[in-house]
Amino acid sequence: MMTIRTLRSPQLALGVRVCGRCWRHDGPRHQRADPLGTDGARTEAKQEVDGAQTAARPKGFRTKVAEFFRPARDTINEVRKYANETWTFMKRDDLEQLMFEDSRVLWKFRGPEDIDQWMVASDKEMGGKSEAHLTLSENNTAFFHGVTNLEVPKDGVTRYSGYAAMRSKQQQAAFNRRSQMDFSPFNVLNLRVRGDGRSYMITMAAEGYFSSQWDDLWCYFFFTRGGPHWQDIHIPFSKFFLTSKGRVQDAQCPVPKDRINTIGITLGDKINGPFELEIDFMGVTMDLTHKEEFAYEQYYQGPRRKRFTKKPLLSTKDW
Amino acid sequence: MSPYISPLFGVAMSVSVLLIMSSSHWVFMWLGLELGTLAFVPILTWWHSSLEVEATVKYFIVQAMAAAMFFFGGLVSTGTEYISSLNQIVGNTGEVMIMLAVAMKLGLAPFHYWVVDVVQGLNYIPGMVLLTWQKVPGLMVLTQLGTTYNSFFLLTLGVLSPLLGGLGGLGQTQVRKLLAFSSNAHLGWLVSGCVIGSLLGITYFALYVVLSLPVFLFLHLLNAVHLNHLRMSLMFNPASGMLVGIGFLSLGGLPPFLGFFGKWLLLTHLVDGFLLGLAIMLIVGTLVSLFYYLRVSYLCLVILGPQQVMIGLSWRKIYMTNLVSGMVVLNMIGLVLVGGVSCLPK
Repeated sequence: MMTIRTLRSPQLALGVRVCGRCWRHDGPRHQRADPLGTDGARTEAKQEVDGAQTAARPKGFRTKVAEFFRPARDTINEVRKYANETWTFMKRDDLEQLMFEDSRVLWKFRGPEDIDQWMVASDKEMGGKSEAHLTLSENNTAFFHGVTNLEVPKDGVTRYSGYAAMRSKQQQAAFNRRSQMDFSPFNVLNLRVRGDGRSYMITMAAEGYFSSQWDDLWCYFFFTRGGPHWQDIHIPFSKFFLTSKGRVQDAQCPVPKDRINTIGITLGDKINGPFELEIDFMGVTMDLTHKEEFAYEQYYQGPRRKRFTKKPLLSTKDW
Repeated sequence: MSPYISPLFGVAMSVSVLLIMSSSHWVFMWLGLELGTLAFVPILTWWHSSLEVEATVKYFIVQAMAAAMFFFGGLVSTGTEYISSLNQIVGNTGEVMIMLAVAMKLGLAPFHYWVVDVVQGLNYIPGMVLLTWQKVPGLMVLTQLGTTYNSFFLLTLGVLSPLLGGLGGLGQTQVRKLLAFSSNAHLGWLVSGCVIGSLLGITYFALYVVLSLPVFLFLHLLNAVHLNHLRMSLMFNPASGMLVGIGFLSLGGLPPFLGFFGKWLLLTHLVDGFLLGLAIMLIVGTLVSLFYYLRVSYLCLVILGPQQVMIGLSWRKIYMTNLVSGMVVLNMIGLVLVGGVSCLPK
């Protein structure tokens, strides 16, 4: 007997039981999110197939409407985020802490969520053979380890190789703006590490207004002992020197402590072999006994005032 | 910078103010404004650090944009009304553009955001010049924009400034940004005073300069860039710490300090002129900014540092405090000076 149902699906005319939702396959009626009717158990292969099928399937009206309004929805979310940030800033519940604190722990590596705030890089991105990993150790500390390999990739461009680095992720504010860390109440950077005897470098990147400043990094070295004992490292901010694209700059200036984007640890000591660095915490402190503002010579730019001194009529210097 | 060239910039800045004061033609006023800007830019980059260069670039861009708008507004005014004197122009598009340009140059709300970024990148001395002396050319031009239409527009901007200056400074921990928002709040009072009467505006400006100079100089001597550093000022140098605290109380407009009398003077004239709404809005804005003034004063005057150290040590004494201290003491004898003068029979 010809009915509307049989017109929809020829299988019905043949007496085959089909899905009452899509009329395309046999079997029980599937849920809306599971067109293949596998009772929620989807394999990755099936997901790929679904994705391909979904991509190939013409978009429905609802999907098109949702895609049309997605930029507006994202903008509204960003506006909400911005309003929330402004309100939090004006309310400033942490103001008492900011006004009276003498030290602040920046990162205390105790769980995966702390490790996720960092990213790892090595010369593998340029074709090198170094490897670097950042994991949580069995002592619940950050474990930065890997292998440095000095072999230069044969691309005709790279001349040096063999580095590994870990860097904190850039904090983002609303509308994809970069959010900076303010260390201006403090003057010393503290680390508690346990290393392998190799020499590492602490790097700090600050927010640069000009494009020529985007590669600026303030660096300083710290040397690990390699024993089983922990090391407490205190590096004053006055000791950090300015580099740009790996080159130490002639015109040095102190770290702009109120606009720090990221902090990182780099290993590039020209040694082939494995490395291991365990980090307990990173923090900043105000050390009242440290009076130095900047440790390096700053070249005076411009002509100096000449001192007008009376020269004697007969000077032995001219003989 | 060559020591022979640097006084030239100071002279040029003074000449720019004199040029504006002595001219009524908008071209010469524009010339004076530009001269002041160009003379001030090398002073901003005196120490050649990257932060100061960044602040200078931001300052120059904003000032150049405002100057272009000023010139365009003058051309529009002249083209439409065939009148070149500012005093005789009756409200038109060109005049509105000139007012907006001057507001941008002064850092009047809602064009105040550049002031915060620029002052944050500068040291205290050029920042002090920016927030005091560089207001004079703009205020001179504003006093000559005197029609009823412009008064309402200027008073609106004047009312907005204390509110935004107060709200903006609430969460600040950087002292320079705080001073920038404070200056913005005071600028609202200044502009309101200039609209009501030029002598009133000049008096308020003079009081503001007398209040601000010692605060900036002491902060420069203490090298305090964060509120946390002010907390320890009482330990390092109790005299300067206390005077900074008193200076901030005076800036907040608390009696019996000198800062109160500037506001009292202006409020008296506002009430006499039945501008109660304006007076209330100005007071509300001041109350908001008083919040952070009191916070700074609390840190300077009440909180002791983490260590109790002998304060009589010679290395703790800072130089050039006599003149600056005298200016701060002026805050405290404001009651005698201004109160006595106001009690004189009319």
